[in-house]
Amino acid sequence: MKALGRAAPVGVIGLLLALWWATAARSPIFPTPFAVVLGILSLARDGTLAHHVAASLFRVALGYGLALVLAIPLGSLMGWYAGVFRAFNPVIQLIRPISPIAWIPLAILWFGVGDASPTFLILLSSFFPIVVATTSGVHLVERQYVRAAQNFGVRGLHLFRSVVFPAALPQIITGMRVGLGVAWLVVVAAEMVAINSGLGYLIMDARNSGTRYDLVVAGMVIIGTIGFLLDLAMRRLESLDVVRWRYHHAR
Amino acid sequence: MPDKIAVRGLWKSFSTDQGGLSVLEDVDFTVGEGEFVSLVGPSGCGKSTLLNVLTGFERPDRGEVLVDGRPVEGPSPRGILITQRGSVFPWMTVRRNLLFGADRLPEAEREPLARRYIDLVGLAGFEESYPWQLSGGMLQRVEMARALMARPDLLLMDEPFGALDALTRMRMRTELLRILARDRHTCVLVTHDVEEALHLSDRILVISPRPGRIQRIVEVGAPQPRVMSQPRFVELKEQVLAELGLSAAEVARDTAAPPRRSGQRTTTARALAPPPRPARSVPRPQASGGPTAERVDVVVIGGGPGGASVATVLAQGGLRVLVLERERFPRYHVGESLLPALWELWDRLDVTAEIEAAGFAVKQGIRFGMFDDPDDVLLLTAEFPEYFPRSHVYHVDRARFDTLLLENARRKGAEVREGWTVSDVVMRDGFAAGVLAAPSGETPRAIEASLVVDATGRDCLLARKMGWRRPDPALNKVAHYTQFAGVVEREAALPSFAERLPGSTTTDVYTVEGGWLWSIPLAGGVTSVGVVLDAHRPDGTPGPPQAVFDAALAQCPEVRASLAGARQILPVQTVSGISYINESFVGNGFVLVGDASMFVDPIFSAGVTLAIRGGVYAADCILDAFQQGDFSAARLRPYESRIRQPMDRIFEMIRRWYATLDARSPDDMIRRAREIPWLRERLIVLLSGGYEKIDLESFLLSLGEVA
Repeated sequence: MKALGRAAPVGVIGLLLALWWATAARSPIFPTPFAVVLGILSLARDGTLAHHVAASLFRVALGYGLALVLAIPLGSLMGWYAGVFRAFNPVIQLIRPISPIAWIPLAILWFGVGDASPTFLILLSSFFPIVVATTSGVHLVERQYVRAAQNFGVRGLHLFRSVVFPAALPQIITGMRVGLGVAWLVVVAAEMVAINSGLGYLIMDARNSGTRYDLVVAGMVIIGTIGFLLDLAMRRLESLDVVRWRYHHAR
Repeated sequence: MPDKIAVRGLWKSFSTDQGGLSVLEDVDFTVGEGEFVSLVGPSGCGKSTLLNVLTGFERPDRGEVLVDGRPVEGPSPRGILITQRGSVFPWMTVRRNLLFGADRLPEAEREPLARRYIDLVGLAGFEESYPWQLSGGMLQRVEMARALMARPDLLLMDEPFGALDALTRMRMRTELLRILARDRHTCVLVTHDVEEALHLSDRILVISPRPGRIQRIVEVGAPQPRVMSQPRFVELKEQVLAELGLSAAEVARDTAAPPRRSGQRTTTARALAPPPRPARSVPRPQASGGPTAERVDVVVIGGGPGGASVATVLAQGGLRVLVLERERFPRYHVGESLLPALWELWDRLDVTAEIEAAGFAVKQGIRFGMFDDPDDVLLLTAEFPEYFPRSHVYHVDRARFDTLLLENARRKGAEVREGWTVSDVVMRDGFAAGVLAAPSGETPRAIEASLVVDATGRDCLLARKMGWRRPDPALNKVAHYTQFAGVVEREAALPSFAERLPGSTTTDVYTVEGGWLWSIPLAGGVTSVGVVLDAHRPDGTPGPPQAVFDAALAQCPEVRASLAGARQILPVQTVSGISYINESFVGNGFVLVGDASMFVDPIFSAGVTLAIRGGVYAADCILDAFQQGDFSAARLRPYESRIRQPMDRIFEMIRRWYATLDARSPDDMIRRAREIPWLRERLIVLLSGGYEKIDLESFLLSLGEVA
């Protein structure tokens, strides 16, 4: 049974690949897995792949970085001061449900067709999960920790830095992980419009200039792989000693 | 005594949906400098509120609270509050938590202070541990040490031990008294536990039901140490309880109730509590169970080598011994390599002939193979034959060996019941007084005994219950092991000085990436192979046990070659191999032996030998205790001192060995033994289990100079 459990994911992937191959073999346009592998290799060989990956990652880094810089302080203030929460929460709850895709026209209007508009869209999309997680993390810090710190005469910024923030950190990291996932989703969508680099552009370009569906699927595979690796990296943060207490309570 | 705290005409109420709720009314008292005062009272009487007001978390509605004549304005390090919920920061190590307590001091003063308090509360070795790695009792000690770091004028404690089990709670009391004896503070303690209050305080304030007022002040004023079973304390306790409106019968039920059950040994223990008895004045367990309660002299929980050895010697000494073993023997167990030091112990147990006749594989020594060194190091007991009666010993199939020892105990007169589960140890007046046990699946019943031996192995029944487990983070290993059958038997290549015994073998140890691998040939073409690795491998992903095992085996071509054509007969078993020496091996009315007292890393094959040695030592001490009719921890302590010393040294050697392994040092003690004769001699004696035959202390010292 255990061996079956281990074999199952491999089996599912194998089945899907076989299905894909069988379908693609009969289609004149839809590429086989093998064609996709060749596509990835050709992209890697002439340097286009590195170029597009770097462009996408750069935008994500910039937008996501800005989101962190804005969302963590704001979320902290909202979680700590009821007044700040009351002031900002309604706006946040109103804007949060709007898909970042819906912002694309406005982004182009405001920021033009350079790196600025995708960066803005990424900032917008990853900001909300982080701010919400930070707010709730800080708000729900267990009172006995705060009281103990006050008892030791620790107040103000020092209290925040040494007790409130570390107590909320596990939740903040969860928010960061969700935020990065969304950022990666959005960068591709944003690059499909009015941009001439990035993995999203690679996909649209491959379709428009000669229906190279092998390259379209190659782009998709690369996107999936990078997204998976980013998530893996974020999960590693959850095993840091300073946050492990939350995720692994028992020994 | 000058007044440290003065509470004058204090009133406090809270607003609720139903209007104001008066919690404290006109409370008036003082606490002297260095005095210990307890507040006891029914739930909801406002004790905790009073403490919150003293700390400054709540403001009084009317009246005032003065500390050193100055009103309390808000929380400050002058008075540190310790609560039952605990507020040790889980994201900081023990040391960082303590440093936080003295946040205002300059760094240079904080470190030595933290050092001092870590030592004071007995947490040395755990400085860099995180709270989730500690037991409840240890956490409370961190809490205490952190509070003391602030050098507070007042220690305010709100049921500080309330979340701990009954036994740890009692231990923490003594701990607190010990700390206060060195570091006097003015203390106010809120508690439900009248005995705790009597044990610790100079005065007890009994608070009335809500709204709380001071109903009565009881002066305790007896010197420490206090024995709670003395008539004066029993009398005082009854007074306080009467003040709280509790009858003597209820009190008795409270004290006779068995402690909380532990671990997975679940049962309906509570329903089977012995019948209520009046509080007694002599701290000595006696039979008083119902008509069905069975009574023996000693109950031994667990029938492994440690338990069987205790039982054998005790039965030989004429005691009525009952061994309760959860499993039915024979059963598979790891730990096949024995040491020549056992011959003397087997003589004591009168089991030598049976063991010689059993046909186990003969072991003459140990072979160490280093992955970065082409030559093995072969250490044979026969090189120094004067140390042991025989220079060989055995690799045993543990199922058979353990059965043989247990059968021997049975033959010597111990009663052995297999398939019996012990759900709890019954404590009475602070003494172990028997167990609750039954054949697996049945409702447990009480079995009374003057003394309980915990030989539950790595379950550590009593050590867990007492909060005594002390895992050694430096020796946190994981072992994966299995057995192969159909191994071609080969004579070990031995140098000429060793008398070659038919079929003789060695215990082979090979270092591999991140640990080491054992290969132990048993009789009949079966070989035990296992690998011991760091529990926290740097690569993070341990993978399935079989794969980890195979990867380690792949690094040992010699072992693989010896297994050619053999087949693996067991799925790879995995156990955590974290070493531990528990805080104490004896308590009132009980002793811990074998793995229930300590677990030693398997590298030097010391486990079974230490267990049997501990069993014999424990039995010696128990026989003495029966002579005296005194089963107190103090009377049983010599057993612990006798076994603990060799244990500590073995641990030290093992740490040393792993340190050189981790550092890939070419100067490890094993390799140096090739060229230094005195080192070789002592190493062989140690690896043969002769811990008392050489001066370990000086050996370790000189080892430090050469390796």
